[in-house]
Amino acid sequence: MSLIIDVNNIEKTYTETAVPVHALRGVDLQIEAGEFTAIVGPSGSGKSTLLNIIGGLDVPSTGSVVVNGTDISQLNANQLIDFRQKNIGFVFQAYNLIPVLTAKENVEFIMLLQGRSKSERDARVKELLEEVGLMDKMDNRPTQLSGGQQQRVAVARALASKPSFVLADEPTANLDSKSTANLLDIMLKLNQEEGMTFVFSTHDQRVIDRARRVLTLEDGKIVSDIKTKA
Amino acid sequence: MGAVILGLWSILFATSFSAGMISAMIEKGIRHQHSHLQIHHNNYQKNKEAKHFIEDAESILQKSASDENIQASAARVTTQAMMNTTKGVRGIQVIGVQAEREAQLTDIDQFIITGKYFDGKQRKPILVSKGIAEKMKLKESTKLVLTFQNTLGDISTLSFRVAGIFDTGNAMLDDTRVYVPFKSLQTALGLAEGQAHELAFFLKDASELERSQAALAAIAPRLHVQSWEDLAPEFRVFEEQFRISIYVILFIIMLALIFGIINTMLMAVLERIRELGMLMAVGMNKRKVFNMILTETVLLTLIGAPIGILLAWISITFFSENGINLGAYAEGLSSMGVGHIIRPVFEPEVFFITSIMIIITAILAAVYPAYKAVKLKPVEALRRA
Repeated sequence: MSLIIDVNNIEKTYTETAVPVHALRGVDLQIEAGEFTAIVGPSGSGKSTLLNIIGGLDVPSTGSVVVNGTDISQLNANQLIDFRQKNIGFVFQAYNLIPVLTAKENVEFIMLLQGRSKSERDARVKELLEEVGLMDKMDNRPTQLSGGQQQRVAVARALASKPSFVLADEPTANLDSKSTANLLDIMLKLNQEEGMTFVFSTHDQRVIDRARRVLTLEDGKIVSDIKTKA
Repeated sequence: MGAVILGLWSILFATSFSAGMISAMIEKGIRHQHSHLQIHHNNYQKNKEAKHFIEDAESILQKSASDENIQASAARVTTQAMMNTTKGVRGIQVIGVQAEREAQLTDIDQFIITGKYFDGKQRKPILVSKGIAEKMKLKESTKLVLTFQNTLGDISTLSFRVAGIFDTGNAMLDDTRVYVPFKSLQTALGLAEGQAHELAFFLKDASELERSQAALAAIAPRLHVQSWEDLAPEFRVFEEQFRISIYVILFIIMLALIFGIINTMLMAVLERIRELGMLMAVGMNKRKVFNMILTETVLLTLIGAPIGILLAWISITFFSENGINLGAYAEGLSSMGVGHIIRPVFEPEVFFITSIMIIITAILAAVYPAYKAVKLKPVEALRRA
């Protein structure tokens, strides 16, 4: 297994507030290709901050983050945008689909940004929507889809750019049990059959139960790292 | 988009409206007052004395008839006089007109509101304006006396009876003059048959003005042949004033439009902060985000602009046919020499320039919201509820 995320002793302190907030206090973390890892912990423990830093949406105050061999803490804003586009898929808690686009177009536009050809885009959209079981909904707009369906479109969108891993920030927080189970089935299937790496933050016990590695954060530090299954 | 539609419509309509007003003023001035061309004695315009008359006025009129572009022409004799009535005395310009020719030339017979135009049967008839009639308490058949100097410098006195009261709609001019029959004034001034002070010509085709002016100058080489532009330089001043006021209006509307668009697009950015955050998170770079906001504005403008232009065109066409009745302001307009029915004039080049300006304005106004969008940090934008 190759190392794709290598976090070295990062700290993050927010100084914009009157009292500085130490969100992360020395985190070391290595994630290998093919992992299905949950980062858990109470609110304010630093889960989202860690995920944002790994995803290149935020920068650490100290320490380095090496993703696929690139130290992303050294990249400038435009290089980071480019890096994210090519390497990382994002799934957000609130789905964040573009309301005026159909499911198909939501999945497709990231490939437009990458300048892929129409035939390539069409084939990939079809493949992904089939994997998330939404072929029949491809012309529906987000408002015509349930929460679970919207999050499945979001997963398909995250995979569209063929990233090396997917970061998901509390992906099931807005979903009911059935949709959660369904989404997890799809993500696990993608993980097992295609080797896609997933890293997600969650509070949700149903998700934690199915993760293969569970990292627990408390007060900005990793307090436990349990590999539950081989 | 509403801002673009309304802005474009109001600018186009305002310019057409004022263009209509100016051209109505000029047209009216030419039709009823100055005609296209006038001929005077070389010294007449400097010093409007009776002695500066045209020796061969009638023969010039006859010769000019060979120019087919001349639709109507007439000779006039004029003098400054004191008008005495039972109510008082006032200075006035007396114009002796050839009844039939003058009616064809300036339509003065159409503006008689009380009494009659000269019919050749009245005894010592005079036409006075509505304003003078009111001020001097003149009615039909009221007697009045005019005192003036003749060509020899002697004082002459003529008595008249009001035959008709006229109102051309241009009170400013009407109240400075009275009309009497040509012959009676010509004789009283001591002028001989065929002599006059002024010759006026109305043309069929105004675009041939210069050619007709040259033709008249050839017939009357020692006289002063002037076009309406020389005779009424105030028209150009009015036109300039109107243009300036239009630019002021244009500036204000453009300013309102800029703020309207900034507001709309800023709202569009603020409402979609999370969406923009997501776009930047998944790899849309700043240039693309900036271009996206700009493109949206341009598209909104490109949709709005044709609607605004269409609405303006429809309303201008409608009102240019039916006229806008500003009856409530008739008095003020009349004092400026403009009738109270205004017909907006469709000016293609104004449409073109304004439309381009609106589109440029819209793009400029979109820069700030687009800049705000680019300045968003994806991680903060995504956190917004």
